[in-house]
Amino acid sequence: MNTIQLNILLAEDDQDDRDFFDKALKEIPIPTHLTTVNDGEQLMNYLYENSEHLPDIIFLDLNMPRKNGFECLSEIKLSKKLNQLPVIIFSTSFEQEVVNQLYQNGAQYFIRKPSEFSQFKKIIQQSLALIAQENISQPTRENFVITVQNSLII
Amino acid sequence: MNDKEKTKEEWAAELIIANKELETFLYSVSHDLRTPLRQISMYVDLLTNRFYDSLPDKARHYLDNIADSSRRMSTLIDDLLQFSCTGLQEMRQTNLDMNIIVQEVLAPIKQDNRERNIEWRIWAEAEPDKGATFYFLLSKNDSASFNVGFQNAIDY
Repeated sequence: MNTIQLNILLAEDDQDDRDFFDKALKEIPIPTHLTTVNDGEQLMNYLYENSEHLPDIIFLDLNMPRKNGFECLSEIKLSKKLNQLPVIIFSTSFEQEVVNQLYQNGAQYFIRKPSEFSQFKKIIQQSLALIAQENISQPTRENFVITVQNSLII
Repeated sequence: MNDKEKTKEEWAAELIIANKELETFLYSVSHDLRTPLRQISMYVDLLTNRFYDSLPDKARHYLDNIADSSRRMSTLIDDLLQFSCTGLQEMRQTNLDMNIIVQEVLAPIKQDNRERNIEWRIWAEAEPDKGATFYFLLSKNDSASFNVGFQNAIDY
């Protein structure tokens, strides 16, 4: 985490969402390097193959083909080599039960994908700042879901 | 247990499964609908924030309309999603003042239709304290289903 550039790994099956993410990262004032994978299977293969050079943060979509975000999160948290990786869930829908389960399974933060690009950018920047502050300890349940509204706190 | 009771139980079990399937279907439909819609909104936001000034008036007008329609669609999907979750919640009995609910739901509709000449008549069929008991599923979005009903009523 002390590197000058944050290495981010995005697991997202939707091309448009990958493009938005890439565009947002380029516009925020934090130096980052983005690697993308298109589904859960690719994500896990990437992590096992690059276990000596792991990313600083993973942004994980939930609904993905082959292996979904839920399965990936469990696998990451059960692996001794990978369980320290902060995983931010990046999802279209928001369901309280699902969010609770993700928190229990060890996700770092939950973000509901916003419908406006400006908010999309803000929330990514906000989550990167939080990760930098909190390092890898899981926040309290009340602070698990990041929303644009409380962006002023940062 | 006689045959008649058995059939009834089986029927109830099948109905529960069918309802569950419908909820799952509604949930996945509304989730899948939300993704492309959110992306439309994102592109509209990008276009608006970056190119609005350089667009001709007509193009701006079209863009505003796309944004409005996207927002409306989004509300409809939220309502659908909310509705699909209602079966998962427990029922509880309570007293509600229908006048308050009606006023709350009407306020934004009146605002949206202020240019139309609509006469609103609201009256109570039942006396307070003696009125009919209504059963509602209380959830975060209490007004959603009422809202859709009222909206359709004035649209058609």
